[in-house]
Amino acid sequence: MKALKINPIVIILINIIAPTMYIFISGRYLQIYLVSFATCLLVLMGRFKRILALWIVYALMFFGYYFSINVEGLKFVGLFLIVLVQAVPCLALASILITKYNSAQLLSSLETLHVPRILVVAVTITLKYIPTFKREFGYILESMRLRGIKFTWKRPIKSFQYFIVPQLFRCAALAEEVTAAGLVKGIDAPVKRTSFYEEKVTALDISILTVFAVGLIGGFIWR
Amino acid sequence: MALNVITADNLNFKYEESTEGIYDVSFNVEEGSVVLLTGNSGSGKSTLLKCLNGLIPFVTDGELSGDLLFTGDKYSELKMHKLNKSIGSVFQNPRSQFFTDNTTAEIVFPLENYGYSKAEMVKRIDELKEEFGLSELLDRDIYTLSSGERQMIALACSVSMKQKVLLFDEPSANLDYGNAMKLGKIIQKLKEEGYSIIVADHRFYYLNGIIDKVLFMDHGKLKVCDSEEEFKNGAYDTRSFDIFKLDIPFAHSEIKSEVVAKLENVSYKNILHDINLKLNKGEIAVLVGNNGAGKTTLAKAMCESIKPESGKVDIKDVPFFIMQDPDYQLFGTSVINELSLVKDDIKEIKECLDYLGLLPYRHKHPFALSGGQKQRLQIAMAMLCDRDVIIFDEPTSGLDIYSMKSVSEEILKLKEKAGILVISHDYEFIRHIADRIVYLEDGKIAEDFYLDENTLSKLNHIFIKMQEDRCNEKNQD
Amino acid sequence: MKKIKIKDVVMVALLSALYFVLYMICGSLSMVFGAFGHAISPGICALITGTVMYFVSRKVARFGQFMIMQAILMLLCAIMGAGYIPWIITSMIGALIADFIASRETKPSVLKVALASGFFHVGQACGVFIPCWFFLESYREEWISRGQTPEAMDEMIKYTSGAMGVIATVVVFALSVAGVYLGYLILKKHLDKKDAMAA
Repeated sequence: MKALKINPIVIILINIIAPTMYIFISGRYLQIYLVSFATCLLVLMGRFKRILALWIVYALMFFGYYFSINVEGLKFVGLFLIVLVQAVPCLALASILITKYNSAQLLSSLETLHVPRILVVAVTITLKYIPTFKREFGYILESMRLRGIKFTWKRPIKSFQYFIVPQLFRCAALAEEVTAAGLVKGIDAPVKRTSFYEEKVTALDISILTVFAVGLIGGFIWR
Repeated sequence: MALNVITADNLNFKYEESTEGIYDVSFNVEEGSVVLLTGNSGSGKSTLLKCLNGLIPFVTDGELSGDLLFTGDKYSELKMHKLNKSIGSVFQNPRSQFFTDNTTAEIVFPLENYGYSKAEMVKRIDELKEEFGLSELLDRDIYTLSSGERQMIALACSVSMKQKVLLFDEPSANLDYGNAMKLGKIIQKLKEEGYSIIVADHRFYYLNGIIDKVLFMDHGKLKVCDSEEEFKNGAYDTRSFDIFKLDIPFAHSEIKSEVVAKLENVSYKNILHDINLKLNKGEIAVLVGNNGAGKTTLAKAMCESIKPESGKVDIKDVPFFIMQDPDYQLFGTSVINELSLVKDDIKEIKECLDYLGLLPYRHKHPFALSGGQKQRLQIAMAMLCDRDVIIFDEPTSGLDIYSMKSVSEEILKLKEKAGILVISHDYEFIRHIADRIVYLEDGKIAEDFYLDENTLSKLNHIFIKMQEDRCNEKNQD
Repeated sequence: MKKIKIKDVVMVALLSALYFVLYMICGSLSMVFGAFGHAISPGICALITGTVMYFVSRKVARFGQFMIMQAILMLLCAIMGAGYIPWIITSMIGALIADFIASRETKPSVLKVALASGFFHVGQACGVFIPCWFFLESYREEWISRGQTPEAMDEMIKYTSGAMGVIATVVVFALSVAGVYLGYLILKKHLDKKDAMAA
């Protein structure tokens, strides 16, 4: 079977809505439903290894829950496990999202969601600088070592200060440059922003979301 | 007569918080010409550039008066976003001018902001691919590009909306010699295609022979030279137009034969191959080579930041490494505090600051210093550090000629007590300081010689070769 | 109270990236302490990011700064598949309160910033726990049918949600406040000098 191409917005919407439903419908039902729904979706996308991983993690956590809930003193563990396990199907879908789609595609879904342009630009900047800063923290640690003021847990506050201060002040200086670069690229143009990577929402996407919604309604009846 | 794309008439700008500004600036830029905007740091060069791209008055607050026209329309009546559909800007810092991590996404970023349809964007990308030879560069991770490739992407972005006027902000600061020369050729080609180009830079050797007009800023005032000749004959130090004709005394002096750092058969990944290098006390060795030749990796191996796969690094103490970007290295709460982290001896610190002319700024926050002052602060650290080996990574990028000369003198003084390794592609600077040249090519030491009258031609030859390597790269695209 | 400008938004976006990186570092650090570490990781993160919060209040100082920061973080999580409605709602409410406390003047007191950071992070934490409470309730029936006494079960649930509630509010709040004071301690000298120079 050919793997289907699904708009990232579908997964994003499912993950935004699904955990919310625990407030309204029976957790038992929702749990079973989400696992089966996520499995079907992953089958459609042809991610069979991911399904296996999902099931194994799920089974292990459930086993832990059944084991501990009946043992006096370990009940807490069981309770925590059953709370954690509810997030597993959503995490499986999220992992597809970040491995299969690139950041530009993910950002384009903000356009589909009609997020205000200034926030789209802001999130674009944040997303771009996360890996940059991560890398630069490495440079700073290296430069601390060469300066002879190595990071040490013996003086945590001083070390943390050396670690964070250069980066904070760099942000302040960068803000000016990034604003300038952004303005000449029209980040403030008063027209509706478009996205090169935005995909049209297809009939398939809509049917998946419809099936998902029907399933949720089923949860209300089940009770 | 050619049409004027930009006209300034009696333009004045005064910053809100400082006394700097520009006064009585009048000039025009003709369509299809190449204009060099130059002057020392703090001369008002960047202020004028900000006026031209509209960042003044849009972002920077201050008092603006006089007229600035774009093809006959007043800037003040054009909105920033309209202006930028006609004027493309290329900034110098690769770190802050890109908004995405993917080259294609970056090129379409302005188009997205201006609401182009997907079909229009696809068409435009094809056109740009054709015009700039980008076929190898599309859909790549920007971080993995070389500085020359990044410059091409920045250029493509700036004309993505078919802008015909281009502003370059210090393009040479982040380019090696070969890439800067290549940029000169590209600018010439753009000019032939009818683009009007303004380049703001304090190095201009790569524009030799293609400049139509020079706008020379000095203390906020403008002097216009209507030809390259007129500028060359003026009072400003323009000798560096033809860098190989410079007459600079050789720095080569007596070397103490005390080895302070030794690399023996060092290899690292696919970057360094069998490197053998001995650094002596009292000498300045300059490491040259195109970007990607392994210069920084070699320096890192010397600092034991990376562990070579084979071979041995023999060094007593960790070298003092002065990074190209000072911002990673500044940790103190003030200039004095910064230096006391190196050596807690207030008397010596003060002497050192006085020597470097930093004494008036001693209580300032290191991040509040200008680029040149930060550079000097780093040199102060090196002076105080008492280590045998000091490494500089591109200490002169972004410095004007006069600052470059004073940095050279300071580095020359440092060699009295240490062995110094400098990574640089600034020819003029190298001529001022180098005792010895180490040429790295594809991770191997291709040449290693002491610089004097007899070996000068060797150095010149290396620079010509580096330029040719870059230009040949282009033909392969 | 000045209106927020593009430059301020860019600065907040950059600092949000820094916030996010610190969050990730804290997340992986608290993994070392196992399950316990995981439970208190929001608090640890609030402690470490307090410096960023303090910096925002000193450098941006515009109304709406914390809302924008939270919105960026939420959208970022959403497009990575980790955002959901209750979390977004409580986080934004927390950020709104934070803005009301500490963004209406250019130099709010450290205490105000600390309180703001408290609400900002408690807002984040609450959204994580609220669905969990409902979830535990829904399981109550089943446990009882399996032979647990209703009293024992109620006790357990009360205790667990109570424990989570305490972590969500008191601990996170306290650590956020401590984080801002830590930030103040770290940045005091850095920022004072700059103010003195500007004056």
